[in-house]
Amino acid sequence: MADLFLPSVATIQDRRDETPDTRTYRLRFRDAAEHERFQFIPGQFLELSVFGLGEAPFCFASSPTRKQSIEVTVRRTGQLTDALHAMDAGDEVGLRGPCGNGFDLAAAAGHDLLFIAGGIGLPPLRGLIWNVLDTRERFGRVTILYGARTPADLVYKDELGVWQNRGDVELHTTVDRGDAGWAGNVGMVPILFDRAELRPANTLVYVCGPPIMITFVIQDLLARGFAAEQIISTLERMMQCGVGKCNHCCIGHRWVCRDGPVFTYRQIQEMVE
Amino acid sequence: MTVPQALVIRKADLGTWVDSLIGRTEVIGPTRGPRGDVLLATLSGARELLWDFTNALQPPKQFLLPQTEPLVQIRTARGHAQAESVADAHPQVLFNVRSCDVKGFAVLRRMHAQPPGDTAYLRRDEQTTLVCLTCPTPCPLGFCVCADAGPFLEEHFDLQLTAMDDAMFVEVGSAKGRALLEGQDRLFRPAAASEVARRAEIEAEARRRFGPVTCHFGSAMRRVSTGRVAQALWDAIADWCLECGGCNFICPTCYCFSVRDRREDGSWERCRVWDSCQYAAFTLEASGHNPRKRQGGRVRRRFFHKVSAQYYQKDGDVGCVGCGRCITVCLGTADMPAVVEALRKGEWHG
Amino acid sequence: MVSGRSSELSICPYCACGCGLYVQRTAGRLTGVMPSEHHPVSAGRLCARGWAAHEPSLWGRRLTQPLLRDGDGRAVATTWPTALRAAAEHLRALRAAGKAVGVLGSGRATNEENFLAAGLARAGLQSGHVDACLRAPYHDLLLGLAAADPREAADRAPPLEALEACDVILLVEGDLALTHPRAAYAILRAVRRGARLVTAGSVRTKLARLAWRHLSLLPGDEVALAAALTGRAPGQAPDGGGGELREVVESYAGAQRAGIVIAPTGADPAGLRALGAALGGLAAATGHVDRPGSVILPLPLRGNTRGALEMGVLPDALPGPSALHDAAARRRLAAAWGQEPATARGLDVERMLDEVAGLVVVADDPPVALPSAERARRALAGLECLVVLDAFVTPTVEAAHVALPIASLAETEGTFTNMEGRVQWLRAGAAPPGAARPGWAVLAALGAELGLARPPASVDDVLAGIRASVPSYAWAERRAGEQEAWTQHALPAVAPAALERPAAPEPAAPEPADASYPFRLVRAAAFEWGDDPLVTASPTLRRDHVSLRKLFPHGRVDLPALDAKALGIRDGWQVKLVSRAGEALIPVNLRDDLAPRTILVSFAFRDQLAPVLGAASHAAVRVERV
Repeated sequence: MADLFLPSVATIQDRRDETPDTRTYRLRFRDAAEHERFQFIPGQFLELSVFGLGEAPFCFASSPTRKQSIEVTVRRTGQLTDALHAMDAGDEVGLRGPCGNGFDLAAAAGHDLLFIAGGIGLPPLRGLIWNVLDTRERFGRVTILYGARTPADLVYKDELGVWQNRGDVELHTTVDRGDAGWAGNVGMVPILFDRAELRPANTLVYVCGPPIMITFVIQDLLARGFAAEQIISTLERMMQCGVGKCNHCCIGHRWVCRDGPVFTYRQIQEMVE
Repeated sequence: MTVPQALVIRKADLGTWVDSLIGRTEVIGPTRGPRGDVLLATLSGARELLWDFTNALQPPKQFLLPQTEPLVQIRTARGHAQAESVADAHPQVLFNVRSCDVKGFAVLRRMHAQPPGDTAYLRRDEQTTLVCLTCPTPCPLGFCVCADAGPFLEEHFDLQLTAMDDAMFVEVGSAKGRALLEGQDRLFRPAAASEVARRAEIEAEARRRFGPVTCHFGSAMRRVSTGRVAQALWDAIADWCLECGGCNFICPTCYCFSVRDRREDGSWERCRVWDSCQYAAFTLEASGHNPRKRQGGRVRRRFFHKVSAQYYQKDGDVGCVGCGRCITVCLGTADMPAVVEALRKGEWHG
Repeated sequence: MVSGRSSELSICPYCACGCGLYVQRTAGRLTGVMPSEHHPVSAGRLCARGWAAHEPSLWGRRLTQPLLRDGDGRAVATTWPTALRAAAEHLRALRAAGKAVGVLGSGRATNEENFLAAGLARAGLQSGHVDACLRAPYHDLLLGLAAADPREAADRAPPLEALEACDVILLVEGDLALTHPRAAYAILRAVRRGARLVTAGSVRTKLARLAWRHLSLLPGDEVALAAALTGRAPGQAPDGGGGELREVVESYAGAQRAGIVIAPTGADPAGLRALGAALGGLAAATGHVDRPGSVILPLPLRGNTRGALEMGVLPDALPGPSALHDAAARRRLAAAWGQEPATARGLDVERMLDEVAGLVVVADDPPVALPSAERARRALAGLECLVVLDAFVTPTVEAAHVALPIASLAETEGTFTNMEGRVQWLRAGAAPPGAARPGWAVLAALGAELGLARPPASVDDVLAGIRASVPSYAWAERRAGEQEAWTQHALPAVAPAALERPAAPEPAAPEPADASYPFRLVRAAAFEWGDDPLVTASPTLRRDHVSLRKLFPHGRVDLPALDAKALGIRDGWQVKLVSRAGEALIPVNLRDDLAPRTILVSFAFRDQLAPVLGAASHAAVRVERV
């Protein structure tokens, strides 16, 4: 049995600024064979160590179909992420995972897929989106609705352009407040619902973002005829072990780190705090 | 149900047996501490071991789940990090463990074996042998009968000892238990039929002595599991709880922890440390959001984990062994029996 | 094979309740704590701080080597002899130049350490400047109580035990459940049994929710309370108004067993004296001073503040306390300390920091615990010679010219005196790291460098010296199998000299609130654990007691929600507070549980409001939108 708490050592390959307080890191296990062996699915997360400061959970932001490196997108919120932001290519971190249940891609085959993300909610979905796009023929229509507070707060700005230019994806973006260079939609994410054609039948919806946004979006979706089982989201909680032992992330009798972080809205409705 | 092999050893020979064990492995048992405290400690001689004692407030779980437990050591050499598991588990015998605590270990074992297995815990568990000492009379605060955790057990022990007049009845529950008899076979003989009968009598009498005490777990469980407990009741209980965390630390079935890194001798040591769901920051997220900001919500969380049907179904056991420690340790009035009664009646004393 | 798992019975070092606990170790390393089921104070219980008592030693930033600041201001590791000699030489040089030097003991130090610290000041440095942070608020309460003379009752039952059996309890608090949980537990038990609880303070606390009556008592109200109580003592005609107070007094007077518990509030020294005098007077007037079962319990804020006081860590008296000019006391101390002590009345800690050129600080971080953190920091930075003894690297250690590493309290043998007067042994659970030594040994060595004769050779030696020179500790010693060195459940004695302290001003009446300054701003507490080294060095406690200054870097005051609404101010908005003295900008936090037109500032933000409050604990202000 592999040691539950033993992290592997990974090296930062490079980093990219997404927004003033968010960076994407590309990681590879220091041991090449281990990197090749490593498997994960979108929606899972890893426990990243900054040695001496501890560990924190970050969702896989890359797809397992593009395994040259593992990507995480990190926003600065405290001591550990501050220390991480000071690290650069060549620095070593610890990596433990994959943790969590991940998105059920097999069950999504044959469906239309609608991705709705707000701000820092795009990273958990990005891995799934690329996974879908890399196996495009298995799925129906793919629609992405993404919004952020300001244009500067949009993450994966280059990739938004790539998705925009693909013929097999429909992408709509918006910002709460535009700026001088912004020529796109202005308003909160739900305004995009009228831009795209939403058909509840045979569609699975993936929603990630700030809790308040998720609440409004889900209400809107339900009102438009989507069922609670069709709506899929990820929950966040304070985590320590990430493997269902320390109990910090429990909601009722579920562990967000093991039974989740991916849950359908039906499951979320049934949760007892 | 297989009947464990039944043996008998004279009480006069117990010292010899225990001393022989001390000679070849670490033996931990209840000893007399200052002011009549019962302290679990590594024995240096059989004479230190208590046979007639009220269960220690100190929970034996700490020998499998230390309060501060190094898990991983991380060294940095020439700019490269090396991470290694700390594997310091070694054979240990926990002697004269009461049935409530033995049941507690069974609960903990199940929790930690659920995939992915908690390797650190399971390694220690593998190397630990449990010798249960049955309770012929109820201890002052215990209610093990309500939690199916005693005073006598049918399984989960490696050896189970029951005091008779001049001898100790020994039930062998596992190969690990049998191994404790090796080299001292001459001290043990098979139990006679009359002794088997006597043992059954002692157990029946012990159960009778509990009298009509019931903890009404069933009724509390029904209410907790179906959301029929008003938030106001949890808030009322919270008014009488000073959030010390003691109930979690001494409970044989609690095991919540946090993970932290500390510096030791030029390397980093990642440790698991005991934590309590009653602390406000237990669920505090990096964003500053805290889903259990309200103390009543934390109290509710604790008893949901201990007593709900959802957990009972998931874990196969109620999260309480009736040891009574939370009654002693509570820096308020929110111990298990008091809360279960409040859940049943729908009202709190305060 | 044997991993050496054992437990040492010791005492929790945080608040002054003195709960017993086992410090546990495996193979020589601290691993945790366990309660002591039969301990006379704690009986198997611990609060969250007690349960984390081992954490600072393991997780804190430890001082492990003696450090000397070099010419470039860098701290360089050195040997013990070099460090001790440097400290002694520098302090001697300052004295020779006619400059003042002082010593700070601590509520975070043992009686032995404090006794030697007092000796270092009076005998070693011939200085009367000796004090400890947080000594004054406790002492002011005691002085007030002494004036009402309630401590003449003979040895009585342990106060915490007696409290549980009281029928009526008057509690003056900041938030007792937070400051002294074991004492709060005693009150919970009493109320559970049917006792009537009266709480008095700035906010409705956890205990206030369980109280029969709650009185609003803000810093500045003490004089009015005293007047009201005197007017309302049974047999005298009430002065009119305030029916609730009369009810409370009648209830207290009529109770068979009644308790008074006073935790230092954020009040000014004179206010605390007035409070002590008011409540002590009430007890005296109602016959509860001598009544078996009745209790008066003033609470020190820190673990060994009472012990520090009795060990002579104060400028107004010799250990005991004995009067400064008590010839017999001087003789005994000369024998114990190895030199005739100076008997000058010195400066208290706040003024001392401004006046001395050299200072020895034992186990404390003064900016954390003094009324003005900023002033303390500036004063420390301006010292010519700062010598600091501590287990942890605090900002004060970082400012030191000489830093001397000592054992943490989990690694120390020594005694602590709790709020009840129990003198209890701490036992070392593990050896200190690196070159750190027991605090008493470092102080003894420093004293020897300063020429003190016959330095003690063991902690028992120091206690023998205490026995010989501190009358109320005459029976304190190590008894086999016992944790208690001595106990007498009485209030600490107060030296007459302290009562005569010249700077005992008439308590200032609260500045009248009027149309221009309609709000009352008060400083809610005398201390906050969030910035204390014993909390910041514990990951569990630091997480929960998160320093308010970290959570609210712009500061915060509490404003009644209704008043805010009337002013059109929303939660979190910044406002300008203006008093007759000055003004300050600060964000507001709206609350429903404050008395109308009262604004509270917590201890953490006292410096930010210095322009408005000055040195006082309360001021009349107006609130302006910005």
